[in-house]
Amino acid sequence: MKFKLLKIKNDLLNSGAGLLHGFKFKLFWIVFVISMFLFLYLVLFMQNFSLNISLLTSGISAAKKFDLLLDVFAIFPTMVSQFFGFAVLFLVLIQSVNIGMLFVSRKIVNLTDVTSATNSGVAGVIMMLGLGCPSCGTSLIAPLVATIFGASSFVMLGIISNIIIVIAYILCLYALIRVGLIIYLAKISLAYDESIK
Amino acid sequence: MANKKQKNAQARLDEMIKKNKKASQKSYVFSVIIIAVIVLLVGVCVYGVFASSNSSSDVPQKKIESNKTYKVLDKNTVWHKEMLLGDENAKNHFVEYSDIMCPWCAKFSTQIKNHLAELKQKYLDTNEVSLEFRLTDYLTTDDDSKGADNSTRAGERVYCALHQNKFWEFYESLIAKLNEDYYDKGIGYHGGPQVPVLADEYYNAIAQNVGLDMDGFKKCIDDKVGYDDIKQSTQSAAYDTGNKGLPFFRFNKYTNSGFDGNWETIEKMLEAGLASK
Repeated sequence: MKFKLLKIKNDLLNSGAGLLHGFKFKLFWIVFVISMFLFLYLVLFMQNFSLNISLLTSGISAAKKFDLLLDVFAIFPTMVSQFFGFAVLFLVLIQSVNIGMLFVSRKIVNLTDVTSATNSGVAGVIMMLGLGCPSCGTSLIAPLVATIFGASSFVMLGIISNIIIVIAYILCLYALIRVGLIIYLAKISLAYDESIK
Repeated sequence: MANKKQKNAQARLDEMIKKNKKASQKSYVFSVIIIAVIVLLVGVCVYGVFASSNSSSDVPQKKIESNKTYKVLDKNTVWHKEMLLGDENAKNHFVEYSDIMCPWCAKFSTQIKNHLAELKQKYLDTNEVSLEFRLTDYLTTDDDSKGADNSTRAGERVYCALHQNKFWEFYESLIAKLNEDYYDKGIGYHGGPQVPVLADEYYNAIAQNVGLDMDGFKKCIDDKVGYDDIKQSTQSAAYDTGNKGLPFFRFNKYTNSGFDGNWETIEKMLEAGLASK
């Protein structure tokens, strides 16, 4: 038990060192910025999914529809000021670091870790399902939950979206620790290869 | 020592690569299943959003806590003239269903207040549009310890102000105070800290400020006049909104729930409603 805890502690420290090493790569920053932008846009759009869809499918002019797509970022300050919104945006940040690190690990050891990639992907999708304001009906799972839970759907939606975000955090952090560890091991092993040459 | 550490790292990395190869073979079928389930789930959700935005339920899904049965108000006529902006006989009727404890509804009201001159000039004074607020206590639950019953209590008091012809004064003051005390500080939103139980003094101070007859105000609350009004509105609203969330908007054939807090979005909703006629 003690040995296991020690191993977890070491893995966490090594993973942190691996992530710090990953930050030195230009490739990481390019992938990070692109995925951050894409994820952020998707999250902000999904935050008001039903409102945006109702307007995009309405009879307003094409220019206004285009304007609507550009205005998606306007909700950012309000989202940051709320606890749940901030939690979601922080998850987007972790997710983007994760994707950047996956590219770095692929570059240095030609390894795309299936577990990290799967966890990261699943976390991204379920995070989208948990987005939106439950009592506003803007949440993507709102109609589904309303069908199952009927009258108590507002309360249930709140609980379900909280659970979803917690699961997404667990998956995302696990993937991040794993990919950090891979980069660390690769760094050490490459140094070893160099030394015996 | 350093060599041993490096050898161990190499061995562990090799092991991880080996496992990864095995995992990638095994995970192929698993990934296909997971992706299929997720796609199905997202598909059902997206279909649900479309289906719910295009249909109007005839069955009230909101559980009405009160045992009393109220006469259902006609969704096509003005419920309370005091809560209407513009002319009752305007060509188009824009309806917003809200709850005092809904921060996004408060943002809608605040935007309307801030852009009233523009709204009047473009839509209200030309008799093109009238805008009606319909207040409900949709967000209420029986759990008063978390302040959830604030919805009913606030709704009762707003209706009691309405009975003294001071709806706008009381409503706007209450929203401004809630914005200042809670909503602008990120309190009252999903997943975060909630608005605590608001004491009678909170409402009484506003009532006094807007010049309500305090004896009449208290009698209205004690006699449950405001209570019956808010419950009737909620019950009637359930027929129109189909429990789709607040703020809910209906403007001609255009319906939608949710708001992002921007005036530009209100303008777009107005255009969408006019185009849907």
